[in-house]
Amino acid sequence: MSALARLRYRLVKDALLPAALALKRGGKKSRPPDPLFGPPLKSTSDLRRIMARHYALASHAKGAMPVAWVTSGAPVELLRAFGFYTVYPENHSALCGARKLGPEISAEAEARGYSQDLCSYARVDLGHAFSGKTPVGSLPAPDLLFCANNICQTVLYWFKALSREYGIPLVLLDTPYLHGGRDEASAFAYVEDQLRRAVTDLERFARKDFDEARFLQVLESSRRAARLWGGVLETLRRRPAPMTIFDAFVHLMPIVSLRGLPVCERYYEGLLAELRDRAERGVAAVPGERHRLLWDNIAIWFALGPLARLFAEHGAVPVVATYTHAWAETAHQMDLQNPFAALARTYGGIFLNRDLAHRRAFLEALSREYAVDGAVLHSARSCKPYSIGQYDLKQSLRETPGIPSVVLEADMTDHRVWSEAQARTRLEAFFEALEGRGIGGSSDQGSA
Amino acid sequence: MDLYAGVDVGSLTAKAVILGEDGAWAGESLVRTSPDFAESARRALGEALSAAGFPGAEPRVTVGTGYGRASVPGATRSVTEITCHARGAAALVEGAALVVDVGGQDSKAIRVGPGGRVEDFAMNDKCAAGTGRFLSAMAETLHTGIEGLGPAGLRSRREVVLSSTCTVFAESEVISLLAKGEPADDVAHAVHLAMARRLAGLVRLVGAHAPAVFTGGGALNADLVRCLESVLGLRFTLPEKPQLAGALGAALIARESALR
Amino acid sequence: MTPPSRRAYALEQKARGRKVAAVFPARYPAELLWARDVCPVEVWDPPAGTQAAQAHLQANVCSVVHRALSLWLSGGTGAADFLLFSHACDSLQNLSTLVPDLLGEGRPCLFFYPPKGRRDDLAEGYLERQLEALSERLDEAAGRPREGALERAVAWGEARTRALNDLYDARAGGRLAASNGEFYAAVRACEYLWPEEAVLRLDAFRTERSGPSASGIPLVFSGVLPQPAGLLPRLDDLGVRIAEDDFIACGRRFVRGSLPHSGEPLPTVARRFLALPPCSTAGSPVPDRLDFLTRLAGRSSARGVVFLALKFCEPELFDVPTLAEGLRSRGIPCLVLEVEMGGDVPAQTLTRLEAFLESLP
Repeated sequence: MSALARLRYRLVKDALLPAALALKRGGKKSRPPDPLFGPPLKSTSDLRRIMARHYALASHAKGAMPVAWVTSGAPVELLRAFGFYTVYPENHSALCGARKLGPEISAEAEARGYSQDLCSYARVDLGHAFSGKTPVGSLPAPDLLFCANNICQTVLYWFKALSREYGIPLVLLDTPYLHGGRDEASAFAYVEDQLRRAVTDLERFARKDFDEARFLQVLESSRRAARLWGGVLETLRRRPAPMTIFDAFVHLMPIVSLRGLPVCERYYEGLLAELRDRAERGVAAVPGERHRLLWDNIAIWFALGPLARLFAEHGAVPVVATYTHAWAETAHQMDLQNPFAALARTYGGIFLNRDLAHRRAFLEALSREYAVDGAVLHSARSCKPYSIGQYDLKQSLRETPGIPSVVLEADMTDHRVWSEAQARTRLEAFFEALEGRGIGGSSDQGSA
Repeated sequence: MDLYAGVDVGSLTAKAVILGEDGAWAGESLVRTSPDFAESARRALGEALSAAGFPGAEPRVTVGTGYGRASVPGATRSVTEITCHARGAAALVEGAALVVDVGGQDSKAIRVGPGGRVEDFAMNDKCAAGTGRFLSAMAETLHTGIEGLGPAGLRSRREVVLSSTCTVFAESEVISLLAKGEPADDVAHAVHLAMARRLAGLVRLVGAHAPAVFTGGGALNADLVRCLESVLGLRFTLPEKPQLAGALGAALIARESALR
Repeated sequence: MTPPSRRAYALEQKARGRKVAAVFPARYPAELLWARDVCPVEVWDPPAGTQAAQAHLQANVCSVVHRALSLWLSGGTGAADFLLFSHACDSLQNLSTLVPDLLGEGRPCLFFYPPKGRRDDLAEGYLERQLEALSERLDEAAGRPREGALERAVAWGEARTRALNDLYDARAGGRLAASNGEFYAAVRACEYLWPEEAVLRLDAFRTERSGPSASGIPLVFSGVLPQPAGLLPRLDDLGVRIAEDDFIACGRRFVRGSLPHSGEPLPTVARRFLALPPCSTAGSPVPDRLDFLTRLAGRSSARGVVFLALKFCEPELFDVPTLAEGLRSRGIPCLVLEVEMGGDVPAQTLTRLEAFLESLP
């Protein structure tokens, strides 16, 4: 790492970027109010600035500090303690998806023989690695890869491919899938051992001793951010909800990409205050809120806007999602007395790494807590661990707690498999059935 | 005089090329394929022999190729259309290094080495995306007829985006574009662009090299060719009778095998 | 001497007083089951169709999982006393919880998680603990093993590995006069035969068929398993001889060469498990797989490698591009064929294969 690069990074971070972003804020035009939606969240402009800064800094990080590409379920706190700059390929792929660039960038991976049936996050990321194509200017090439297979096995195959492409080491956290609670202790012990081993590996890689005090600071910050994020989501229990899950999908970015950093906490403090204020004053995200819904699985990034509109037109408000809860679910319990064991439990025990009985209970609990009338299950073509089982979860949710649901076949980023007309028909039929229930229809109608 | 025949039985059309003893082009034919592949092959061969001025003659060697290659009556052997298109294209265009063939059932990109040898190739998935069948379905939805699709696309003034190349999805997308009032010409062009991107994916798998040759029925669609050229940044040479490249390759192989 | 059908065999085993386990792919320590007089019957490509599973699985889930669930739904695993799921990929992982947790399977369901992507002491330690945990569950489902039974089972495993090595050596060396179909019928009987019987049959097959292999184009095949079923006779017709294979269900299921030992039986099972050929489902590094394939091609004088990439199989599909590129750069021609399970080979697949053969130098 060069001193010059470090200096340049600091200069950009502390002086140039804040000035540039302040200018940009001044120039932002406000849109006319949309009668379907409540007033826009003020925090959104902060979010834009934070994310713009994150990606702008990224291009200066190379050489100034070691750069790690990590999976969304990786214990990033460990890397932060060593001063790594972290990049989240999943987040970057989601961003490419939102800009409708998924097919174009993934075509670069497909041209290298990666099948179109593979995860589109991975295809977009590999396509970016092969071609440099990205809507964010440039991403710093990784010096190290860190992968945890707690969210899926796919990330392991994908990061193996990255490791070969860049010729750099891959640190793997192997988190055994949990069936019931019986093997938990031995699985967590294995994960904990690997975390300690990772410390030794990272010390060697970063040529730096492990700073335990710094690590604890980061953990504490991460835990606080998770609690704040949990608080943010809880405000959606209010009727009418002060924001929708479609908003939350966007405001999720800091907890995914920046947790453990002060900026992440600060951001959620602001967002939480704004939402609490809205809730108190009865400000609705969707003034015509009639149906409260649960969303299952990752967002359909390329259709977020049209879907928000379609839902709002029918007074349908998604108020809770398994996906957004993933970052509030376990991290707040971290026991800092025993940091490695805590990290192992937190990352080894996330809901995607647990059986479908646990998922069912999780869905049921969220449905009750947020008083939902129905659920939209996004069956993501890319994401098998999240999607396989949804057809039966749908049946099961209809029995207890008796909520109807609809399965939406789509993808996170590849809009080639998406038919807007088809989705619209399916959702509208579902909303019509929900209306029917409201005026005394049978509970079965909603199960489109 | 010894004659050599190549018969290419595709899913939509059957083609035959006759070469004379010296290897010179003697005659050809192109007929619609009937559900009976053997009958189609016989008809194509008969017409080509007549065109060559040897009605009813028996070629010394006949090579079958194409989807129905195993059903060519009297064929000495069958060779895949991939090998045949490479050979045929190399004979039609000196030094051809890449062949893109868009047929009724399959599309393929073939990297060709010296002498028309296949060095690598890629084919479309099993589904109709990116094949002649996809174009036929789109032509039907747009009411242009298959011959009218290319000219319609060339008339396009404005770019609209079609994201899907899945025949089923694309059809509903095309219908909703038309319902939105997009002109059919613009939609036709969008169809070609979507397909060109798909074909470009195949080409990248084998490498985009010049000189590149476009063969098969798809080469008759000028807008499709233009779209592929712009996506790849590569000029394509179009043989005069692009659909006959496979049959020609088969005939060349027939002659070669007799002389060896 | 054709082996009996899996179902008939399972019933026969039960009549002999053994228990039967339905085992889902991919890798598992069979020794632990044998030691408890349990006959594992593996479910890879049952002739169950995929119809029944369609109401439970998305269309973009691979046919291994579709068929396994269809088999289960239609009562095809009825003879089994319990089910064993080994963690191989995301899809099989979800199948392993779908069946007991949402579809109400009442029989014991056992799970086995082999470590992924690591082969260090931590992975070995965890594997040993997994074997202990699985042993405990097996004790509950099938009773404790009798004195010396585990040692005996370990010895059977060794004998089966030797028999498979001998048979593969004979084929690679061109000393086996058997069609592609006959070879795989013999090898794949290991997926359910009691080990002692499997060894007898493998050895008998090798002795009976000892003789020069049919001339033809020797190739290495890689993939999940030799599917579609119609492929093997087609290969015979085309003059292709599979001279080595890297199928998960076949060539990747046994340790090549000599087996590691470790005084105690359970650590021995663990070390042998880790010595299995590199596999996508185990998260093995691709360079290891590349070396393995190169070695297979070399020892069998193969002229190329054909990948049967099973549609929607993520672990395999992710590795194939790098493997193919790597082999080509080592001067070994290769072909990637996307395949699905079923009877006959689609015309397009055959065209690709024939064109590949035509292009071989």
